[in-house]
Amino acid sequence: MRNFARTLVRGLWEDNPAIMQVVGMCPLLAISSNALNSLSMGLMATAVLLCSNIFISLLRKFIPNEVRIPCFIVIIASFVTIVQLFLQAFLPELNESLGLYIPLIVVNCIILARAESFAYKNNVGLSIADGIGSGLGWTIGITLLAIIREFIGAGTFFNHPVLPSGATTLLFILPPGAFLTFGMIIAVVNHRKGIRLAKKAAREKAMELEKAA
Amino acid sequence: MSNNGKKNVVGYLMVRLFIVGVVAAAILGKVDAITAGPIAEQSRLKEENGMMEVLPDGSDFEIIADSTDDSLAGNSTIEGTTVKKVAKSGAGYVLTVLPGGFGGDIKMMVGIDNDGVIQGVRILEHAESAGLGAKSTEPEFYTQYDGLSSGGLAVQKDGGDIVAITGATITSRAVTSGVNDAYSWFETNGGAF
Repeated sequence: MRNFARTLVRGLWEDNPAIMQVVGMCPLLAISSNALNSLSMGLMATAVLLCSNIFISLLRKFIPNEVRIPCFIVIIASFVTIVQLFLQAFLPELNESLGLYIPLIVVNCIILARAESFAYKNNVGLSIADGIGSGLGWTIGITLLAIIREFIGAGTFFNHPVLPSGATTLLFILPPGAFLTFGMIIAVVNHRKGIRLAKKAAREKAMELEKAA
Repeated sequence: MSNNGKKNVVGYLMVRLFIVGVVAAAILGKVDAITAGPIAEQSRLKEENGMMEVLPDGSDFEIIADSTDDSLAGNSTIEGTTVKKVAKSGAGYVLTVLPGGFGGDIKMMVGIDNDGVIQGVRILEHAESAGLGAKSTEPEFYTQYDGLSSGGLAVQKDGGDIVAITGATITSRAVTSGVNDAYSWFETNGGAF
């Protein structure tokens, strides 16, 4: 149970797939111009990731090592297709705004990455934790990026207008804005991490000096 | 089996991969069988609602031309144009037009009444950029065409009166040209059907 919680939290922050590992960039940069779309996309990818992690973990003894990648792709693509068909049939409104992006989940390398580096080597329980943690971690990353881009670029927050129309900088919802904003997020996070590590190192050094004295 | 050398290892890998593929295909087939009906129903409903929106006075629509159905008499009138489908009703015509946008063809509907007044324009399917060209699906943009009765529309940048979407001139031009194409079909063939 402690392992379950630790795996879950690791995906959310410490090893956050978007901000720390920088994987799944293609859909992350493309979709993050609107916070609501990003959140829905993130949750959809989480659902697919969870399903594929469960199945790959269950089948890890059945799938031979040499052909594991084709098997992973078949499983992931099947789940994405199932999600898309069900959305088209039963949730047409959601399909309207996201339909275009759902096939992109197949190429979201975070799903293949988690299958390869986690689900294929761990039991179902931990794979569920990893699926939820990594999926939600990626969702947090893309939604954070989208909130900033949408706010500066379109002056809205989850489609609610907050800035007057003259105060926006269109560049931020254009493709270059994705790179600029994401670069800044990573810079801030690494800066804070740097400060934390420096403090820790200083503390250790002080303790060593104390010991020596 | 595992002791019989290399040839059987390859066979074993193939069988495993084959089983995964077959099971996945069977599941997808089942899901498709469940969802095919509702999906067809959704797309029919969407089309019907679209027609009612762009031509509010229309009812009992009859398809007179459709590029995907060879048997229709009106098909020669849409050959070589971006008009893909024409539905006629007592009040006027609804045309489905596919002009080329920024991210591929834009599927849109234009309703023109019997007096040649544009009653409504709607974007059905598109792949324009979110936050930019995708704004063509918002009333603020598409209602500008309502009540116009001309086939020579243009965006302001090109000397016309249509206010383009900020940052999406290509999309705005595409939609405008789609409206123009629909209108020119109406001018040439409107009385004949």
